[in-house]
Amino acid sequence: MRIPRWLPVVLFGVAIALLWTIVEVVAPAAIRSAHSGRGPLALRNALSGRDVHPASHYVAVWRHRARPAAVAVTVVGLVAATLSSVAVRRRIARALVPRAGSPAASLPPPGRRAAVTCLALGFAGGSLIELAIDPPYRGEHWPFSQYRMYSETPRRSPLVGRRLFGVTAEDPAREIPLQGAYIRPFDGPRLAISFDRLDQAPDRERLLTAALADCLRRYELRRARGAHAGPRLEALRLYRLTWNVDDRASTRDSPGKELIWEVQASNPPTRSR
Amino acid sequence: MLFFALMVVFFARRDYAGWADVSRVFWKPVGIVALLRLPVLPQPALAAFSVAWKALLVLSALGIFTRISTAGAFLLGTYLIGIPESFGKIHHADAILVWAMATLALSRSGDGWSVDALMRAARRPELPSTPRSGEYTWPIRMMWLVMSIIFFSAGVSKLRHGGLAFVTSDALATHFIHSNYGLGRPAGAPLVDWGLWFAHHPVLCRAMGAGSLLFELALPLALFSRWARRLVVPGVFSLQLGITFLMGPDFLRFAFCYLFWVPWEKIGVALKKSTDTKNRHQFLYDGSCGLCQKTVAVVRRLDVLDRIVFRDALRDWPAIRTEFPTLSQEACLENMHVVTASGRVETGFDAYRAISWSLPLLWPIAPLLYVPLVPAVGRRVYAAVARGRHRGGCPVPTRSAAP
Repeated sequence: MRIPRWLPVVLFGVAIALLWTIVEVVAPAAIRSAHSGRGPLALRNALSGRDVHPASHYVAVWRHRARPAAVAVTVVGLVAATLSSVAVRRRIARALVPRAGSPAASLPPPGRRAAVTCLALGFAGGSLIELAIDPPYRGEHWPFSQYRMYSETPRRSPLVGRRLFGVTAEDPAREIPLQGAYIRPFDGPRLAISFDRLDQAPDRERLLTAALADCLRRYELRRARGAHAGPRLEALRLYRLTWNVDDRASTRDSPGKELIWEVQASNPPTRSR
Repeated sequence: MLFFALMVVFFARRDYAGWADVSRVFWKPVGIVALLRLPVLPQPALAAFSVAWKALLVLSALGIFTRISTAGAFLLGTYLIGIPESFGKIHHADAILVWAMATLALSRSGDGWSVDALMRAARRPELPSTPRSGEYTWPIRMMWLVMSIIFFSAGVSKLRHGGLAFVTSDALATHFIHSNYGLGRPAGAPLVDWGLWFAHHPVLCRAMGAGSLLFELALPLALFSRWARRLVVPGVFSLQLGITFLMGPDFLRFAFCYLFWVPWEKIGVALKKSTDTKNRHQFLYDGSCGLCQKTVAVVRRLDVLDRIVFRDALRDWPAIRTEFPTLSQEACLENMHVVTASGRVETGFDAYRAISWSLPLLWPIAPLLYVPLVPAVGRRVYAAVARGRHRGGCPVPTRSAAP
């Protein structure tokens, strides 16, 4: 029996519509129902801690996990449906054949072809695995990455960050933000994210003391070498800065400051390395 | 060549030795650095590695010992770029350089414009310049693949973590505003504060978000479609440029990899077509002399715009005599002659000086050939080499080989 050309497309359309109905309508309804104590026992048991979390929490978790999978299935299905067309397959085959007039390009030797294939598959495979497992920020398997910059929806206000300040050895003492040449070889993001990690570590006091002392030591060392023209410092302070963000950035120079840690130059602790 | 030249310029003043002096409390190895347990070497070793890497980048840019220098640049570069990634934050614009260096290390990039290619041409003048082979196209396709997957991953990550919020919410407007908060965003201030203006126009921000997402997800199409290459590649380039201008983080080193999307071959053909065939120099040489053949092979390699017509004064003499009746064959066989587009005849060192202006690759050294004393020394050296060639088995033929 000859299968009509339109049948795979229609079947595909129905299957995708069904999939998205399940993802967006059926499953959330089932979750809400199970959360309120109705529906299958297995599903009710799966919602552990439903006394604590509202139904919307479980629906959000479901959507967070199910939507990417549904998008992947839709994309794969679209490709498959497109390739089911004889005309499309013929066009692709035509595109891959060199044009009649063009001089034929010779292929590299088999060994090199294998090496190139390994490189391409290694990169593509590693990247797709990284994308699939979606490791936490800073847990990426460099040089692979899922490139999640700007992927999370930021909260407009407040804007919070840990920043390093030096206290000058002047009378009166001033606080200056440490950035640029003052913190080399670090740059701003690397130092800020390092302090985020250290401040959340179980032995944060030891780590922050060592880290600040190290920054102060390098600052003074580089100052003595003439690598920067900053003033002599008598202390280093790590602050948590909080900005109440407004749309014109008019509060950019007036953040709230909360001291997290301080190290004095007169009594530098022993380095931890 | 151009990619490595940009790498040299960008990394010339980067100090890697400084990482040896940073406390271990900051050290948190990532990816390949953790997998291979790569250590932070002592300062002298890191400084030596850094110098060696930059030297290898220079050699790769010039195409000297290309296979070895590109492989070395990849290995040392992966280590040196990987070390800072393990101190706090992974910079996403760095990893692509590692992939590009890996690709070029495996490629035969030195067969194109390189000192190696010139030396090979001098040693084996009979070989064709670069045969048409998949050897010279796969590195470009590989970098297309790398960039496509990177942008596609960025698009999928946005969908995964925020759904369509990047388009439908004020996410981009918030990024624009935060970017103008100085210390609040340590990645660097945006080049302009127009982001604040955009933030007041949510529809524009959402349109920009939709465009960004669409370009990121669509870049893999550029692997197969010429139209996608023309549309999406400039699109993602504009996207990164927009981030730098409106949000701060710079993608300069990432931008080096856009070189792989430039249709250099088509540009070369177009430039050659634009060259006026009537305004070409005539390069007259002794075709029976091995040294002259080597010289011609090298000059041919340098003549990327087809600005020179090479003519054998032995075999093509009847035609040359008709065209330039004032020239004598003996003189043309004795010394290299160049008849410039304006009809001026230059010989020996002056002939080289004349053609140096026709060959863009020689433009950097062309002015040096006019520095006082250089012409005098150059003419003497040329005369000495010309005398040497006659003594060394390249005798000047006494008559035309043509009937």
